[in-house]
Amino acid sequence: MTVCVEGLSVRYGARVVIEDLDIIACSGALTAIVGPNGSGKSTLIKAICGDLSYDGVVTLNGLDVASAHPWELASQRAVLPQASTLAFPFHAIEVVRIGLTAGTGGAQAGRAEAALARVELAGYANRYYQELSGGEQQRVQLARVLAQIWEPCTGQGPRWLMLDEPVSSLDVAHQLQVMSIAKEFARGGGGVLAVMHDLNLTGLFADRVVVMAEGQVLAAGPPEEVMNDAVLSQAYGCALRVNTTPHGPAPFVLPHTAEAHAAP
Amino acid sequence: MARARRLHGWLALAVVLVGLFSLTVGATDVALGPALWKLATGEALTRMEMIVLWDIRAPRLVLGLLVGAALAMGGAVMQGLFRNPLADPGLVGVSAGAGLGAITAIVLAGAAPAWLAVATGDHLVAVAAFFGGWASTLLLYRVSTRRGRTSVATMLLAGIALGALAGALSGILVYISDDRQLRDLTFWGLGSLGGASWAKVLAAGPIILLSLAVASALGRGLNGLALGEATAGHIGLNVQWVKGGAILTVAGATGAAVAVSGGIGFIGIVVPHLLRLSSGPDHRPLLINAALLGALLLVLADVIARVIIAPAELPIGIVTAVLGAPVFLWILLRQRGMVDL
Repeated sequence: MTVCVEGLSVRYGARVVIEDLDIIACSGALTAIVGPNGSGKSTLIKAICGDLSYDGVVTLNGLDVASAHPWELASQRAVLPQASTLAFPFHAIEVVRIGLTAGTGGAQAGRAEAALARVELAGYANRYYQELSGGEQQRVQLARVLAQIWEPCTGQGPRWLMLDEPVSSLDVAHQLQVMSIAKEFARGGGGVLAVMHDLNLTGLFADRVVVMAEGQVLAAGPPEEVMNDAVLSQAYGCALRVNTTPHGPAPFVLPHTAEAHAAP
Repeated sequence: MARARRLHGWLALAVVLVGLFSLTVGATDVALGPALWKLATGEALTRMEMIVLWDIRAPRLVLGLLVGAALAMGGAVMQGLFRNPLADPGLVGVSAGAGLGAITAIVLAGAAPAWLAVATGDHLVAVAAFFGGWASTLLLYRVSTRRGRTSVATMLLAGIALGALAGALSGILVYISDDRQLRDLTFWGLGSLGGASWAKVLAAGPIILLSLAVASALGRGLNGLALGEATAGHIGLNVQWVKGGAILTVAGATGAAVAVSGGIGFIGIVVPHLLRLSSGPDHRPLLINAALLGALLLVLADVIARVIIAPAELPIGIVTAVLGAPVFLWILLRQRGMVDL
């Protein structure tokens, strides 16, 4: 089962943000979308989540996103937004429980508690959301998202985790924790689509990378193929040198190389 | 949550007790006890008892319950819709819009086409107030919400502008009104339950009860909306339905309340705040508790307004403002930093 995007175009007023874009993401894999600021990554994931109007066709497990009911989509995918403010003083556990609102097989007792434990915030259930740090708030939101689609794969097929810059406000240990949770979700048969800024975490965790630039797909494929000097340098508009660690094929990028290149 | 649910029972009990108490106090010394005893033993009530209890105090009590519940629940729903604890129909011009509707109906009733008079019957003022409230809620929401985010600053400023505009238009209507209409308008504008009658209960009651019924189904949706409009959609809520229901509820509750009682302030903002402090922000119990506590406090305020300078009467708006404003300030001080404005 797949997320399938065909001929996608998105306009904000007269400005074209994405034009005639095709991508496919398969379940069982973590697909990362990378690219410079303004390349259309977040717009792409918003279109896939059904948040904005677009031209073209987006399907999720064969379900047409534009015409599906919100509750149909909610049973198949959950979305972690970039940043979340909360209007009222809810407890952390209440925020997670609101994620179970859709009642799509997620109403089992103890689910919310288990989801908080999954992101290592078990003792935070009765803390006020507003009193948590930015990183803790982000993990509470992740727990909410996990609670919504707890089993990665059900009788109806795989479920999807949509992550918009999931690690941007986290320290390195929690970046690894969150990416591991996402990876495990994919290993369990679910699909993961993540907009990423961190190329190194992308190289380490992604099964497939989509590199975007100026509203188009520049390259797509496994990280060791796609993440090379030429593609990344072109996408980000600066000279980047990709390397690999002695332990495995995962590529890494150091800003030092761009700096060294620019110096002379 | 459990605590908020337990509150339902206690509040309902308190409403009954305060309601009975309000039937026994007033400018005359007609007491409820002997009258009830007479009813129970089949003895006829005196004419005085009939008039005071049935024609004066009972409709006033029922109207107070309805208006209090409508104002408090309207405030709670509006705060949920705007994701902002400062939203209140009185503060952001919705009451003024409803007032403009009511004034228009009072002044221009004679000029209204015959079919309108037939269609609305005795309810013309209430219906007009509903449309005034509905139009201003909708306009306010459109102006202050962009791409699913409501700007507080824009909301408050737009509310001030809307309120001023509605006030100015109301002023023009007052200017062209005749002497009898002017007298009606003045009484209406005082913000009082003084003119309560069964006719007013019948005019406002159905709209308020319908609004309360719709609102009691909005709890889940408003909880989702607290996470932001996009997220509310992601977890499977039909956001358009939730928003549409909330706007109609606010308009219905505020419009009908304003039509029969003028502008009574602070119930809509203080009651939901007190409840969030005592039993949490979950809208499912909150909306019902708000209706109960609003009814309770307004009837209590009305009792105070009636006895404090008896046999004269204080406008109830003064009582709610004197009691409500300090509570509101105290809440703001306590909540500083807790609520993301």
